[in-house]
Amino acid sequence: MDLHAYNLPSRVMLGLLVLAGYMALANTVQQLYPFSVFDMYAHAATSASRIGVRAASGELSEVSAWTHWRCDRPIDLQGVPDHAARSPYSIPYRDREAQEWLLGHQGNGGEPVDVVRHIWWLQPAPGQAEIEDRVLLRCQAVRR
Amino acid sequence: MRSGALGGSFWDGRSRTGLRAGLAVIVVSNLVGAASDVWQDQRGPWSHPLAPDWLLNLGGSPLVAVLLVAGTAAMVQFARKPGQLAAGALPLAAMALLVEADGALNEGPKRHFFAPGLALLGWLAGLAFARLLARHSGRTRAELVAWQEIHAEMGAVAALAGNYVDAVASKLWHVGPGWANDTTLRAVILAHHPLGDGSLAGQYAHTVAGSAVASQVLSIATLFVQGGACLMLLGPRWRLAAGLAVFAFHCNVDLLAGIGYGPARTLLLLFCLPWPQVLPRVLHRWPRAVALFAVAPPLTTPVISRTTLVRAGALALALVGATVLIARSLPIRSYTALHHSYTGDRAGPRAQHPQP
Repeated sequence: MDLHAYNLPSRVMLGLLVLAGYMALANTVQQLYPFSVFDMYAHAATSASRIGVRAASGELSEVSAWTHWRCDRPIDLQGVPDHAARSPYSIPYRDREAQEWLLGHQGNGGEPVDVVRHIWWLQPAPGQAEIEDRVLLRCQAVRR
Repeated sequence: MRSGALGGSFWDGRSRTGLRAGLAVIVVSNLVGAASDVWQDQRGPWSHPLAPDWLLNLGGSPLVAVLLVAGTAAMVQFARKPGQLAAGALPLAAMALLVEADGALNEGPKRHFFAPGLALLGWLAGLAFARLLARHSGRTRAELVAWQEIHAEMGAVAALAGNYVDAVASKLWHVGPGWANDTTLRAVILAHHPLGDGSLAGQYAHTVAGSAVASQVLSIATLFVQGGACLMLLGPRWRLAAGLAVFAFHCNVDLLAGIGYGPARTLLLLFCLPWPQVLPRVLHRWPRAVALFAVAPPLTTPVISRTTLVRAGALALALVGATVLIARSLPIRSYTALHHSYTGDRAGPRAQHPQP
């Protein structure tokens, strides 16, 4: 009997099987190549944060905008204690990129800057945010 | 079989050599990217605490080059001849090793490497399924090859659609429709977009991040576009519309958060656009290129009995079920749960990433 008699070509059946099979396996293993539930951004968030540089002028920029870093203590952004009551949403690999930049571009310093965790505590409509800077390191650096 | 039919494709009636070659190019470029990353990776404080030594030791190991060369050679073979199950499985295994090693050495697997592996796995699943269905059909080898390739294409498209449907399912599972609130997308944008970016993309990102209404509209659109990816299974026009919608979604995310997913975008263009109708006209000066889209001999669908169909479907379901049961009996989730652990919006001190 031809599958077209059912108006259900075998490739549609295959498509549904692959779709359902993929979802079943992905939800079983969560993250195992090439299966993933892609839940990296599936959580609700009311805050955001980035590691950045606050210059003496007040300007905020990426750590990669600066070089020749010299800091008041060893550069270990993971090891910096953070005793605040609330912890903001952050992206681990962005934090690591910042740390690797600092470690890879050390030098004799320059103008005084603060390495900060810049936090947006988000408010509902109309889209405002309460801003907070937590100082992680006091350093000297040269703008690139 | 009409290309506009349920489950049809722009490639119906044409050779799928161009499609297969395109998939091979994308997989090999990903293989190069993953190998390059693992070559430069070293075990460090960010490495996965439960990862086995043999996986972590791949970082900077000459074995990376072996995996790259073997995977590329097999993918060339895959592209040259249709119906190559083993030649497709080898690069998939090489990619799996490299991506898992990279993930173990860092904070978790890089998801932009997943789509090509997923499409390749779907392609191979389609090949295997078609072979199973048409085993005793009595058709010629050429007919069977064409029969297998139309299923391979559908398998790849379904797997691609699956990752978007799973992404929206995760959002609905963790939060529900409330995921599309007026803060979550703003948080994702602000946590990713470069500080002090004065470019047009930066201004756009800050406009959306500063607007509860704009971010909520885009969040709702995200749920519909990702969920709508399953429409790609319905036929070529649906595939074009749903594929372009997902492609536009990726471009917007790239502008807002710098999350590119280039391989997924390339795959969407490869599988969803009407290349067989467009490229032969554009490339008419290059006959060898046009041959990639040659008109295929008329395909008569093998006669598949109801019993064969039910058996094949049941076998496929049983295979998936058995794999799920085996996977559940292994401690995979206690390992993968430590990847990309969610680090925010919790009371108390900032969560520290696990140390080795």
